[in-house]
Amino acid sequence: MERYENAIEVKEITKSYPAFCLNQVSFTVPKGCIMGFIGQNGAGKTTTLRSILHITNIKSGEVRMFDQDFFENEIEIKKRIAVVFDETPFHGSLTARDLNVIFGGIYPEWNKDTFYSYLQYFEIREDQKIAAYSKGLKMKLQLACALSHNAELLILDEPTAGLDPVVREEVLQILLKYMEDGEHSILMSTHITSELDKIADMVTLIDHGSILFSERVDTLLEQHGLIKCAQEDLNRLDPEDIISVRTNRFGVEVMVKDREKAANVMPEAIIDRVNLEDIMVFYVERFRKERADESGKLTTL
Amino acid sequence: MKAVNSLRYKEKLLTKPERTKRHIGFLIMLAIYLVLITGINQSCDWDLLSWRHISSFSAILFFFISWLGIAGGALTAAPYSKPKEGKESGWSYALPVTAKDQAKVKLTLKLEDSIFYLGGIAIYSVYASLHLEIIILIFMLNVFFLGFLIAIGIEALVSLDAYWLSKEKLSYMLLMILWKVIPVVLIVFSLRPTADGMPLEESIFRLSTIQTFLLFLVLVPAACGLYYYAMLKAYETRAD
Repeated sequence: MERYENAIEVKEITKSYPAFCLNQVSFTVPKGCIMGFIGQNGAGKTTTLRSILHITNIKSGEVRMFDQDFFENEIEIKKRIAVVFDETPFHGSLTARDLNVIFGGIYPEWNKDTFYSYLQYFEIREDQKIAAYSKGLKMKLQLACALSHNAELLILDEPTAGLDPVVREEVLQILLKYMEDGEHSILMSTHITSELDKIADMVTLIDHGSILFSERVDTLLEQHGLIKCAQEDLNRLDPEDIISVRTNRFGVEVMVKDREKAANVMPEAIIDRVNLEDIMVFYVERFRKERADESGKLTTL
Repeated sequence: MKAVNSLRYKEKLLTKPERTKRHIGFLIMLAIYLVLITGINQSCDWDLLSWRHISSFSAILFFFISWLGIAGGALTAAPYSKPKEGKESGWSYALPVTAKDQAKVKLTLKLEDSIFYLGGIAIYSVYASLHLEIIILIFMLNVFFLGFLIAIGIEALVSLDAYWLSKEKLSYMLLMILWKVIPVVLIVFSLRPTADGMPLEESIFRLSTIQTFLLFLVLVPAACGLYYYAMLKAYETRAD
């Protein structure tokens, strides 16, 4: 395996559509890391992945993989990565056996035995047309292909969307197994954050085409907290620490990014631990409020 | 090279049903053509028939070919050769293959397909040469090939147009119209009275010779080059 520090470095990617834009998207996936790329539907996850893979053109920015410029070394780098799309890109009239022949010629390190062992493990019939597969089987077939050419980096776009819980769990276990030797890396977009609680080392949140944060999962979960208190108690907290506030009939729910600091100023308060879903929801709410405030200011001007 | 072979294998699998239909259409067309030639040969008194009449017959036959070609799937069809937007291209872009590899695959498949048609036309040629005057045969084959090759060139333009200007439907219409117009123009050209009193037979022979040179020295390489370029551009183009 080649020595490199980061599997992916995305630097200030910009891309514009009439109603949407990627706004200087930057994040890094270190080697040996599972990076969860989270955000709501339409937040820009798929567009970012398509931009990174040069499936679509970008306006500006830089993508590096394995410490090399991706656009300059696209073919060589693509031999070392595997991509799993949310919907199968394989034509319905092909079979798994056909894919073995096709990929065998395209990927220098394609391993037929590994591929067939995955087919067996997933209970995929090699001679059945892909069109006849269930959604779960199609995803498993994509994974089988992705894992059969010794790819160092796996890029997955919503791999578990629409799958039943059993299959989802299977997929996650396969990904964990793939990561065992520490030489592989994963970038996985999803809006099902509960999966990332189980497997991700890092998480990047995107909303409206902007990165809100890119951080280690354990740090995020350790530092953030959810306080339920009265409205007037909010003044005791450092405004810099407040991510977002929700008001309900009993008072407020406030997410803070430094739970220890909050515990010092509000020792009587119960500060609940949060999960990635809470973090995602509160950050997106905060971002929306900021955007609304900004557009309000612009309207006033 | 291995990648190109794999892509060709994939393309062949994906286009097999379409290609089979087109081949069957071509064979039916060929069979009808052969029956017609036999009919013409048996019902005509060659001594009484003028070149003008024979050319008119040719015109009717070309129209017939043209319509049957379209009905049976057409000899060349832009939707078949054009890289399709969507699933397959998305898949291709995530694979470690170059646009050149993909364009090469399209061109080689097109040439492989042409060999099938050439084989069919060769059968027709042998059969026709036994029954018709050889000069008519050369003339008809030339027009046939010319139309075929120009159609490939136009197909390439259609592909460029579809990807650059998004006027796909208009381009297909243009392709079909030209496919019909070219043979007719050539036939009308051959029916012009010769100014220097040259016999019409001699005139057609010269026309055929020029066409042959044009075909193999200019048009075939040009059409292939244009087709390759069009495919390359199509595959280099990323969705916005």
